[in-house]
Amino acid sequence: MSILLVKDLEKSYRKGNLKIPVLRGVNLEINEGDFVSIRGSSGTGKSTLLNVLGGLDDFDSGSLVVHGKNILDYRNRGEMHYYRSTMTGFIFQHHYLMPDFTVEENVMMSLRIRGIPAKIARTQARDILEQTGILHRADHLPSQISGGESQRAAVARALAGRPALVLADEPTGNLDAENRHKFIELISDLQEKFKLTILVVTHEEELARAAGKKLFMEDGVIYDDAKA
Amino acid sequence: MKPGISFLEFFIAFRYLRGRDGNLLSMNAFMALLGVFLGPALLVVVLSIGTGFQTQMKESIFNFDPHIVLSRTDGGKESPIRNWKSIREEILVRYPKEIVSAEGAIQSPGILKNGSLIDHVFIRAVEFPPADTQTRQRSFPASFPEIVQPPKTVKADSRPGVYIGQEMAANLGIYLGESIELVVPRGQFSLQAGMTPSMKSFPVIGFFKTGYYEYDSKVILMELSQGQKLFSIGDAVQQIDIRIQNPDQLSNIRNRLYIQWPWNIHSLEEQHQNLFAALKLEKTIMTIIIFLFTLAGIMGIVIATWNLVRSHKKDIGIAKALGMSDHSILLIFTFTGFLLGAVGSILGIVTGIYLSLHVEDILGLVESGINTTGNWIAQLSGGVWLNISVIPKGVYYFDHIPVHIDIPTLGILGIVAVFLSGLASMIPAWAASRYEPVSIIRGGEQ
Ligand SMILES: Nc1ncnc2c1ncn2[C@@H]1O[C@H](COP(=O)(O)OP(=O)(O)OP(=O)(O)O)[C@@H](O)[C@H]1O
Ligand SMILES: [Mg+2]
Repeated sequence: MSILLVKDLEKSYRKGNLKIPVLRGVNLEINEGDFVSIRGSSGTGKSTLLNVLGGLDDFDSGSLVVHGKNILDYRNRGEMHYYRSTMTGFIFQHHYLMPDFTVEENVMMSLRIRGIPAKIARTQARDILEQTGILHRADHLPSQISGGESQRAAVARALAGRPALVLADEPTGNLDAENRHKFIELISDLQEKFKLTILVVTHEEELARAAGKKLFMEDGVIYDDAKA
Repeated sequence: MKPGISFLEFFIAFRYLRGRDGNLLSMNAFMALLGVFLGPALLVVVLSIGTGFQTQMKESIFNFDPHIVLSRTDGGKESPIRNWKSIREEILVRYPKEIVSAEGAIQSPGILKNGSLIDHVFIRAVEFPPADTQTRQRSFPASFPEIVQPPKTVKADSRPGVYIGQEMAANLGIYLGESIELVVPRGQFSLQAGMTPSMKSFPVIGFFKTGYYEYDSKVILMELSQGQKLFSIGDAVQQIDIRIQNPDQLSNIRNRLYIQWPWNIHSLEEQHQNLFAALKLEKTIMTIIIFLFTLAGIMGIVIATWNLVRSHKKDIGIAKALGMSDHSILLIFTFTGFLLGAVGSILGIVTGIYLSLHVEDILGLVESGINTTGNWIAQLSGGVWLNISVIPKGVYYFDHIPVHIDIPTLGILGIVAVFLSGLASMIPAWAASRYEPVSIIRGGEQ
């Protein structure tokens, strides 16, 4: 079943009178349980694409359907926040945990935002923290845990709400070799276990290899890695 | 998901106020709280004391002064009223409920001579109640000033004499039983060129106190018959003093009396117009100034909220990326401002009430602090320190500072302050809700 269907997606940035085309007709289909990686040189529009898919940025033309629902319907109804909280889970290069809240509270946050009652949210948060192997750090503040642990917490937060699509933008970019390796192992395990649908943008050969489907982006267009 | 109020927003707001180091309150929030606390605290103290003074002053004037004064002019000068007893009867019969008393009186400026001391005084002559045959004490009506000397237990002076204000006694060094000389114009009630002076000596048989410094330092009270002799007006009086039951009916009764006796008629309000207007203006100006203080405190809340928004810019971006609605962000930061405003101003008002109730102790401490320091410096430098008093008697003359806590006004102040701080913090909160998550994530790790 198709989780993501992107057709002729175009987006340009405007700088004064200057139009900078970034996405120049992206076509992409991702099915349920796919683990897809996108590689490509810097500035080709990978982050832009992910932000558009995650509902953080808008686009100029084309169509974008997630889990059978057109993103424009959400936008037109002013319910982008609902799209973000239910459809996608984001992992960034930086963990972006909220510094005033403990690891557990950070994970709970994404569940509470979806309207899940605190008690259930706590149980689910602790469950996913266990899955990501940092339950023992649940009551720590982000400033009190290591970079690798922070990124695991960020994974837990992205997965907690069981989003239809997990988006990761260079999730290992800030990690050292050992943590990178552990992270790739974790994400592969979880993907297999929960049949997650993941789209990851990366420069890492190892992470790209872990994904079943390898894509390549150049000048705002997506190619199969094989063709490249 | 319907945007609604869940506990999440409040949870986040509380956490943001607490700050990062597990403190009870972040420095930012604390400063804002202090800002919004001071205004209402000061406002309450000033209002309570201001209203207290006014109430007290009005009360002592209302107690001592005749409420309506009827007098007569002849050729531009005040002339004695001879048939005052029949007029009094008529008034009392006509207004049995509204008017409490009507009495003949003389009230005129005069000159006091005591040895080499000369002072300008105000003489008031009214009928005294008869003295007790045993103690020789007189039981004056409530409208009469309180007699502070001689005490009730002492046998009073039986000579026909005068009562003077206790401040006059203190200022001029006049003792009980001592005689003073009074000079007044004969047959008229104003000091002017060409008048024939009349001088008489009177023993001082008591000191009184009204609580109003002007009176206690300037007024001399004597029995009407003594006054009539002093001014040489036979059994006439200068004016008829009328006291009424209900102060609210003052102008109404005054106007009705004027229809029947179209003479000189003055009500208490007219007499003290300037004083009352000044008191009112003073309070209004104070209220405005300190309300501005409160506004400044609320500006402090806006700034604190803005700081809070700025320092949590990344959080806001992340929360929105996680799917938090604009509405929730707005709520979080409006609530922080509202909470600071509510806690600050309510604490301020409560503190203000506490300070108002203990203002004398506090001023006493301040006064002794200043004087101790002054004496100490004077000793060190070999000079002399004259003790000062924080509230000079001549300006604010009451033996205790009158405080009137006006609950409805304070309630309104509290509600307005809380409401305004919530409303004001909506500006930075609204800005926060407009943040685009993508620009924050693009900004990277900062
Ligand atoms: N707000 C913006 N205004 C104008 N141009 C922008 C803006 N954001 C991104 N761009 C441009 O869009 C292009 C694509 O940027 P994007 O971040 O998607 O690249 P990327 O493929 O993720 O690169 P990298 O691998 O370095 O992360 C870049 O040329 C960038 O300069
Ligand atoms: Mg990028």
